Amino acid sequence: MTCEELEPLVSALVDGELDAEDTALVRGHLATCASCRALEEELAATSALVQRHAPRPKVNVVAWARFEKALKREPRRVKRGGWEGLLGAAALVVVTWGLGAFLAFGDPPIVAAWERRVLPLLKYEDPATAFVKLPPCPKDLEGVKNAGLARDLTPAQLRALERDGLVQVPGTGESLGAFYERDGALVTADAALLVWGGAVSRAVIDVERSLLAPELEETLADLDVALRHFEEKRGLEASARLARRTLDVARALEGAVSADAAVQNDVERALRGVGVSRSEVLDREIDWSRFTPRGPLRELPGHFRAVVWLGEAAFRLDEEHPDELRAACLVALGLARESRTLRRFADFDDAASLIHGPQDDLGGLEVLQVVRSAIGDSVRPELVGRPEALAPLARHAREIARSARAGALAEGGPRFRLVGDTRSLEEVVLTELSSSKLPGRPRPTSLDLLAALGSQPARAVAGADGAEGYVNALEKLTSLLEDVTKVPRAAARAGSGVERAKLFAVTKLLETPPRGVPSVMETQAYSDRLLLAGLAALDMPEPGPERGELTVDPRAALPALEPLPGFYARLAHGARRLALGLDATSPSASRATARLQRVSELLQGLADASREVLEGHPLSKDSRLALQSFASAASVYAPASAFACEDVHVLLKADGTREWLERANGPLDRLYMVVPGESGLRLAVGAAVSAREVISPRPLSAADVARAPRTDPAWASQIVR
Amino acid sequence: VTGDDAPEEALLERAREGDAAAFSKLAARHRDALLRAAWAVLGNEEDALDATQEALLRAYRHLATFDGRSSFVTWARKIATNCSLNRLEQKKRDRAGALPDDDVVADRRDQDAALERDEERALVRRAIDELPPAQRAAVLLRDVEGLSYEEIAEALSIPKGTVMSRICYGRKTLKEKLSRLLARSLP
Repeated sequence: MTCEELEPLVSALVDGELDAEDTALVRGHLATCASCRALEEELAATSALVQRHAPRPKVNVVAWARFEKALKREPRRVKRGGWEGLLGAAALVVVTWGLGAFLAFGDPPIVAAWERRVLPLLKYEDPATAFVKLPPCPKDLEGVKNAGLARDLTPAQLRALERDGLVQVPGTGESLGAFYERDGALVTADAALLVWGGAVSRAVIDVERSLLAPELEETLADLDVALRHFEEKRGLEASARLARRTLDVARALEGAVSADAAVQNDVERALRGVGVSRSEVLDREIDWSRFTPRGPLRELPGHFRAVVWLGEAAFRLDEEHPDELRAACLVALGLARESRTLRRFADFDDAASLIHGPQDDLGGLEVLQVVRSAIGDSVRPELVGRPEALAPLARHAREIARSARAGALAEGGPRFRLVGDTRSLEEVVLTELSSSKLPGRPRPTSLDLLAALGSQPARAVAGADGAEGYVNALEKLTSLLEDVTKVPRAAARAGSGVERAKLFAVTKLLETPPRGVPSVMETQAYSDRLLLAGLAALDMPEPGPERGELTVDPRAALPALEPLPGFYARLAHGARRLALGLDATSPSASRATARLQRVSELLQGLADASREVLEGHPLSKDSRLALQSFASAASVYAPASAFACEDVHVLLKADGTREWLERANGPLDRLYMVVPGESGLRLAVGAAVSAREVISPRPLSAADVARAPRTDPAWASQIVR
Repeated sequence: VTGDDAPEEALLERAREGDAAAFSKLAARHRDALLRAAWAVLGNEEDALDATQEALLRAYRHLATFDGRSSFVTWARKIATNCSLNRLEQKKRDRAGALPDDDVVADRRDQDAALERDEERALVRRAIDELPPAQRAAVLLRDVEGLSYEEIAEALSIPKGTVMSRICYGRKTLKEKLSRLLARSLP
């Protein structure tokens, strides 16, 4: 046997799968052949690598719940060769996690099924090397070179320094505002957040544009064909026309032409985006101001308006509204004509349920179930049009709505909504905490969002006004949001496309704390920062224009740097994760992927530079380049001058002079850190940001400033733990 | 006794009589193993989850045909790999009209950059992702599930000799892609 022929046997030897005879044969060969011996070693090492690193996915709770639901639908006794046998060779796909529907529909039987396509679940472990590895801090700072700097620290702070190698104290140093006035160029954590948020924001829009918008457009076009077909059938004309007109508005908002006057009128109202008035197609009042896209969604106005419209378009499923009931059934049947249409639609349809919890509206798939229950598996659309079908359809709609929604049905009975409500996470929170629900409370803020996401410090500050019911409302939201943010698959599916990608980014960042990270990095305040980073992706003002390749002026002076190595490194990692996710699911968003990778490199450069600064080394060439590039990156990805951005509030006084309010609660905090130097340990002192944001119900006045506490030890202790 | 700690035989018996809750408990014990087997064939979690559900529902429907000669998990795993292989075939047919994927070969620069960041895991996973499905399935069933060649042959419905060659060629492909990692780990 040649070496090549022996290779499989060598591999099997590694696995201990050879019998005595073959083992002797292969061992004999190995004794004389160095290259095969090397192969054996390499195969064993490869096997070890696979054992160590291969993914070991687990069935998550959402998927399992769906399986159990499907299991319940299984008949107790299933005849051998049941429905599976009926499908024959022409069958498409089979059952999925959702509801499989089998309908004899017109000519060839159709098996309707779909696959879900979401951003992938990436299991990352941040490389420990991306973080500063803090050495153990000697007791009493013995041997620490400039320990004298720490003489102002309290005993509690000294203990924290011993434990974590890191302590943050309210500073007494130079105020940041003064620094801005004098120098103007400083790379801060906030600047990094803005740049990161800008890049994520652009990426998210790219996904929406390349993936979700075309899918919706195709789905609507497919449905249009089906509904026109139904309009030709006797008894279905009116309901098919209602369904088609409803879809036509969505299509016209995306750019298709419609000659229908009622459709045109609604489209014009949506484009104007003001006031509340009656929709001619839906025959009910609509708040047209919801149709005005905000933030980066302004780049996809047609798609945005179409999705909002579909969220508004609900058909009532009862006998008093026969056209609406039948229209809903026809849309569902139209979807089932093509499995790809149904699959696409299921994705849209699914999106809202997790974030909005139980609601009365039925989705397209549930309406299919209604049709099947009322008419049977062999559905011809004409059957839906028969007068005697109306009562069973309405009855089954009620039953299915009741069982799917755990019994509770709102007044007015079940409805069919084309696309689940598209409120964003922010909207949900802000609506629940608004003054209409909690009287006496000022306008909700981003701090409420953080509080709802489980941040204790944010909760302490936001709940300080003691509005009645605030804590309860918050508890409810927190458990809802936990469901959304703790199940990555669910998070990836929740809400609109923008919401989906943003939640994805945030949950990825907040997942399992990376190994080797100093414990202080896991504090709540730190997580809050990252959440803010994710939120910045949507709340950002107009993203900066594309300016092609970044340019670096090597003669430009280096900006000063707020040295936060772990913080920048983690942001860098977040950008990289998102880039990988995009790359895997949306190859057409390659520009966004490249942009995110570039931003990741820049942020990693800031992390490296921070480390060098804190450790007292001269800046490396790469770090200098990163610092220089950052200024131009900031102007590309974020609003101008973001590279010198910090949460500084400026008060313009009556006499025209300006007063720097810093973060309205005192001067910049200082960070003490023990770092290894060339000749032993050193105590480093650096600037650090506080995650605190003080919310004022009205524009800040001089009186507010006077009342604001100058230092806040409680806050500092939360950070230090 | 069909509590969470009930013996497998008791759960099986109840499930055979049509007790869906007992089957669900039984399935819960092995769901991750089935998912891993499906993943080994399909290479992505979304599809693998769907295949696992399909397999479990099929197992439930056809529980009467389970003769108990092998363990339940072995039987169910075979169904899961079958469902997964069917899906793979379907995907191939769906893609037949489309342009072929670019031949993805781990870029040398990628490897350098990745190594610098100590992302051994990412590199290994990417290499596994890029294996041809037949090889990936055999390699993962061996190295992750620890199945014998005989059990792999049964699960994938292929001869034992084919298992041996697929594992060998799969590992060789991995070895090429991971050469720089290996150079570090070998003396």
